[in-house]
Amino acid sequence: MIAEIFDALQYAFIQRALVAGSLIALNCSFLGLFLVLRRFALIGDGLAHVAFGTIGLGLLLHSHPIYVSVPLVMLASLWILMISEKAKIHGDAAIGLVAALGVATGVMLASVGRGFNVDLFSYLFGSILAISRGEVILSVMLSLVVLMVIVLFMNDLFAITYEEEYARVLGIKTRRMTSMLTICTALTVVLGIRVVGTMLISSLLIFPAVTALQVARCFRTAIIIAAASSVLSVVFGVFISYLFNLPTGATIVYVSFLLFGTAYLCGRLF
Amino acid sequence: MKSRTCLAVMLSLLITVHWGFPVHATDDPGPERLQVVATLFPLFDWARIIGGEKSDVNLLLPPGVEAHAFEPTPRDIVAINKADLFIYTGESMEPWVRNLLGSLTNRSLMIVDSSEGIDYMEEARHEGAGAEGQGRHDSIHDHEKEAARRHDPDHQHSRHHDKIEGHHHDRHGGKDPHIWLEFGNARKMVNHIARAFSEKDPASADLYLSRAAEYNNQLIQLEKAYEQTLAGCRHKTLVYGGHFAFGYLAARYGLKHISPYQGFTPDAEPTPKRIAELIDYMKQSGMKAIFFEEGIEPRVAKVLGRETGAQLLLLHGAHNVTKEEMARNVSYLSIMEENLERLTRGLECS
Amino acid sequence: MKVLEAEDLSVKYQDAEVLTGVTFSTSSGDFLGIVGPNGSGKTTLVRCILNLVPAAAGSVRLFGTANDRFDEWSRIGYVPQVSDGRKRGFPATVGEIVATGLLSRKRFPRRLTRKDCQTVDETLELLAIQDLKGRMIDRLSGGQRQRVFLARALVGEPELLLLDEPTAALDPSMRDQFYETLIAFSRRGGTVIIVTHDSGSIGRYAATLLYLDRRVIFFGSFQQFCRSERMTDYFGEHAQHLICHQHEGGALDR
Repeated sequence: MIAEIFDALQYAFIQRALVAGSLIALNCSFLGLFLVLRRFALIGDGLAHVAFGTIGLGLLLHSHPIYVSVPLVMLASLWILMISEKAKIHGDAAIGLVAALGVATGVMLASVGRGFNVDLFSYLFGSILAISRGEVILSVMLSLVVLMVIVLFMNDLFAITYEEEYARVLGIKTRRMTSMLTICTALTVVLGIRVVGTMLISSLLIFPAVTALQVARCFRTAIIIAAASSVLSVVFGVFISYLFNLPTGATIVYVSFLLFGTAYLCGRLF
Repeated sequence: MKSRTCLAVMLSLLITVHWGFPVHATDDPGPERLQVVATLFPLFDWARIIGGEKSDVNLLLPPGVEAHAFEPTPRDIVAINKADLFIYTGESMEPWVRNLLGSLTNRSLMIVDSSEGIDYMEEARHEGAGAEGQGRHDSIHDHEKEAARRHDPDHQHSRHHDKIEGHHHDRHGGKDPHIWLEFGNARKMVNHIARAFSEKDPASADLYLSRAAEYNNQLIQLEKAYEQTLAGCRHKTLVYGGHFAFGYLAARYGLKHISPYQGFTPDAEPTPKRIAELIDYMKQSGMKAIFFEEGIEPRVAKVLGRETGAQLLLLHGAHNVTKEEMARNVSYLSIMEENLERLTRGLECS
Repeated sequence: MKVLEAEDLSVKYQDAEVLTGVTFSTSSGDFLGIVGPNGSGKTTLVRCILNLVPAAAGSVRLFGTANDRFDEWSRIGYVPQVSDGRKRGFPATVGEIVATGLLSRKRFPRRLTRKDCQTVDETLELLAIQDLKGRMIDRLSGGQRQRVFLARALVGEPELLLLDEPTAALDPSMRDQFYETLIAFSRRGGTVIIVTHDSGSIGRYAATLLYLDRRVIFFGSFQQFCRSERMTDYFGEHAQHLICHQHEGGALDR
């Protein structure tokens, strides 16, 4: 088995899957913890749906879908925030609204543009095994940016997440922080879509966070557990899917679920 | 849960909402002309050749739309109902036709099942993936041996072959709908279409039948070219990065095919092990090309290409063509000629 | 020195005026109790002072600076109302929560040092809750949490302490201890503004009283309040006496 794992590591596509997958998962785990605690976790799902629409636009314009998606999904994420603040619509409703618009845009563009609907649908599931070198480099760079932002603003984000108004009285620019968090989420979602697809991206955001919340007694541990469980699920997911000839994306989700189950039991027992 | 619902909504929207009209082969709608609706591109191509100036042929599939996911919109059904001739591939390619028939009110509409009299093969898969478990490397080599044996067309139903097909029957049961990609079948289909035209318009029957005969001669020429070329190839196995539509063609010329995909849909992810095996196989056999299908970004084929340095070659299944291809005036013949060229390159045929 | 000046402050919620023409000020060392019935706008006033709710009219100055331009947040400690449903299962210890009170003193990137940890420990000791340091904030009783929030407000060594109903979940002996801490803080020169609906005991601690009912009913020292005939007319003699503790003579001694 060990030998087989070493065999697997010989292949560049496995190496790429591990590197890009772990980094994106790591981002997702940090962002997910804040989002889950702020009851805003579904924004990942919503933005993934928006990305579906923007990828449709990218395909229509014959440019690389990521280049079109990154700015547009960022704008959409800010728009979700704006709607939920200004228009007296709750966060979940705002997400649903923007997500529906995104999907409608995708469907509309697919219909107008004709002939790329299958390509568009390949983004629903993504493929962690079919990442190109350019995508790995892009993922690594953007992941590092997001990680740096999170590490630098960790305490600010923690304060806001626990109590937003109090954070404002501490002089933290809460609105700016929230925008930054959602923009980072938008970036990560667009990257993640290429890797795990629209369908699985919210599992990368939510699973590590809820796993950590089962056992963590303090925030530092929560961050560490979330990060560890996200990277573990990608690494184990890739290897298990290699060893047992299973689809990789789904295996990653199952490993995440297994880790969550273990954490849940630990949380109950101890 | 939410995303699943969204997916369902998206798919159903995309399947049902096709905006606009079928493509017109000829613009001028004279009252005398036969109104013909064909589902797939080859049928459309043949019908316009046979009908020529005496017909208006419409292709039901909008350009570039994936044929397997297609279902007609209400507007399409109206168009079919108004036509004189409706030509479809067969039950397994267009399962929706059966339901459609009940809703048609036009008594004089003639419905042509182009697959009549054609023997279907069981669904073509890359044999060896999944269920066979550990022996997969071996199975790839077995297939090559088998392919060599089957090179003689008489061997098409060798014992080994039957065993594999039987095995597949248990797992998939479906029939391979891509009958048009083998020239013998194509000729039968052309004849069906010509006969239907003649019945609808007996005055010009001779014209239709002679056009069909002439066209079939071209098909025979191309078939010979395939036979000669593919007889002398270094490789007998196609590495294919999509869902394999060339089962009939492969069987006819004794080629084997392997693909990273386990299931039928190219949307689903292939497993990493399968990709790794294909990489190993291609390296061992010195294969310098990997084929991919039309209409879908060949992501997995690209991975294989990057790992092995192999070249990516399009093997066009001709289900449907894109707007650009339509504008370039591609035809079934031109597509198949290009396919032969790429096969020659990819399999290193002399 | 004026710590806080509110001038003709009005706050609207949707179209209804919640506060109208509120004017008052406090100087350093002051101990101001804001009292009033439920729904009188006490919490809104505090939130408006901190610029958490926008004012429809009027102005607030904190340490001489308009509150929308104010940025020396480390001079202010804030104890918000404790609501029970907040952040169930939040993974944070008392120590981590109290440490956030230090963030207002820091500039980007707001890092906490070992010395900050000591400061947290000292504050927890001051409030006699050092045993809670490693406990999960979510598992505390309401009273414990209020003391933790006081620690969080005090840890940054502010000059002005704003407390919104901080004693609601405290039992009477805890409450006295809590007020003792506040009095000690104000003796050291700190300014205390405390919102409470507990008009019965505030008079024992607060020197100045702001009686609020969507507008200022009374603002001045306790002595003035208790002697005011206008207030006697407004409340009736009995209620005024209850607030003033004249049966105990508490407020007048101070």
